[in-house]
Amino acid sequence: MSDRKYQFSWDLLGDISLGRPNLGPTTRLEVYRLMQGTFRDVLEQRYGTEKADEIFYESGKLAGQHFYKNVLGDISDYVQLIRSLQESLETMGIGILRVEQSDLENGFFVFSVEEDLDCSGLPELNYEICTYDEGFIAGLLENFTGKNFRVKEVDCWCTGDRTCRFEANVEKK
Amino acid sequence: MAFDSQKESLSIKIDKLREAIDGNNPEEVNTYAYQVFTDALAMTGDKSPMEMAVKAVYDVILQKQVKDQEIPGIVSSDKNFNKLREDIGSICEFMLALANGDLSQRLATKGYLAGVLKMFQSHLRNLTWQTQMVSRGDFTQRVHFMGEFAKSFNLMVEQLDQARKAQAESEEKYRLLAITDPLTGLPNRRHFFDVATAEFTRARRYEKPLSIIMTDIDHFKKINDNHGHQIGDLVIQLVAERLKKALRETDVSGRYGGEEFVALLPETSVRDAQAVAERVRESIENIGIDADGSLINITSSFGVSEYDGANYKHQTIEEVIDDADKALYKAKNDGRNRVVVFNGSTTMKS
Repeated sequence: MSDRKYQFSWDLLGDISLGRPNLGPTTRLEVYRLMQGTFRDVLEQRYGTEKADEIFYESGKLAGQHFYKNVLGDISDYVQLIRSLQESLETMGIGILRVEQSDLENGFFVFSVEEDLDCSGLPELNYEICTYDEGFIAGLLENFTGKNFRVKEVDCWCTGDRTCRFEANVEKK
Repeated sequence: MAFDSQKESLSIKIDKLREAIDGNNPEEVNTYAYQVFTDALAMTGDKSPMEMAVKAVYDVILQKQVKDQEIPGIVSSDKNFNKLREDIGSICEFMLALANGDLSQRLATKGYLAGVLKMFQSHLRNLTWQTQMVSRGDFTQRVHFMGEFAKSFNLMVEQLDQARKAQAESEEKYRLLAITDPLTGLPNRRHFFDVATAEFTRARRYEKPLSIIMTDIDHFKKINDNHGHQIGDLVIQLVAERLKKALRETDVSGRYGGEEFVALLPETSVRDAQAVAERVRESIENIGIDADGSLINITSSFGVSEYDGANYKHQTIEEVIDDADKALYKAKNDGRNRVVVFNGSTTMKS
């Protein structure tokens, strides 16, 4: 699409201290989930489940890429990346990230996220729901390694698990 | 209850079941059907279906292996029971793997119980990763979950970190002791050669000049004999200090022998090195030591040589130092307290 109206940039998050001098930068989690849940509903109605998931994944990936550039900065050390990411995610109330496995050489990672922004506390639904998180992690890893990653949530609060677990595999060319 | 009264009670319930069926009352059909079924089994001495089901579930959960024939047919033919039995079997296998330290197992079963176990597995896997990071030298790893274990882990990593730092400090201390002359703080002869050799190699590779200054304190034996070793040591320290003060950070100096010092000046022509040596000579000449009321004047003789970088006259740093030593020898022979520059194998000038 050449003539775009909504291309995202970090500036579009706005000057929150200027715009919300009294309410500040935080809001209730229900509001975030309300927006995500209704988006998912309408997208599914209009484009079908698979396409709705794709859109969520791609959006999460775009968010991960911007988050990496604007929040984490230029980090070349993997341990430093994990530490900065853990601190940022916790400070911003996104979740508690832990590493279960990391193989930089072969491009394989297992992460777990507790108290996840998207799903922790949701009713059991018999399907994994953190599609946006999958994309988010893929976006971060791609920016850090320069390689394409496919991320899949294998355990989720919504399937009765207490921890969301993500497996990331580098995409073979 | 006697068999006859059981029979009578069962007949009444059968009648009521018929009435419920005839009256199209599903709730009563359900109730009386269950009662008829239970009473009929009781008459033959069997347990109720509920009792049998509960016992079967207990057996499946609490026993390692339950044989098919041990489960009553009425229970084992139920698909929900079989799904439960399968899930419990998977959970048991997963728990056994966890107990044996195998953290690689996958548990397909969903739900709270499986979820809690997977959370435990996730914590152990994260802990394993953190331990691996510590073993690779990352002592910033801390665990903020798993209660008392986390406290112990964090304490262990902190103590490892402290021990590592103490060891590094100790190693650095001994390394410095091994390469430093304890009296002057200058590099010792061996360390000077190590650094000088590296500088010489660099000068040859990039065809850059370097100069060597050698100096030897004049009449040092007399000072020692007349005023004692304490004054002798003080003289050595003062000369080393003046030499070091006159050099740049990139220059290398060292204590070469008893009262002999050496300095290497990278990317420095012999003329510039001569000027440096002259400044040091003057500086030493101005030292006056009060020893029991008598003033001791100190002088030192200097020899300077150069590797010019453009030709390959010198093959080793030892050869350049040897030239400076020859010049120093000439300075001593020419009356001491002077700087002599090596200028060819036989010709020297002061």
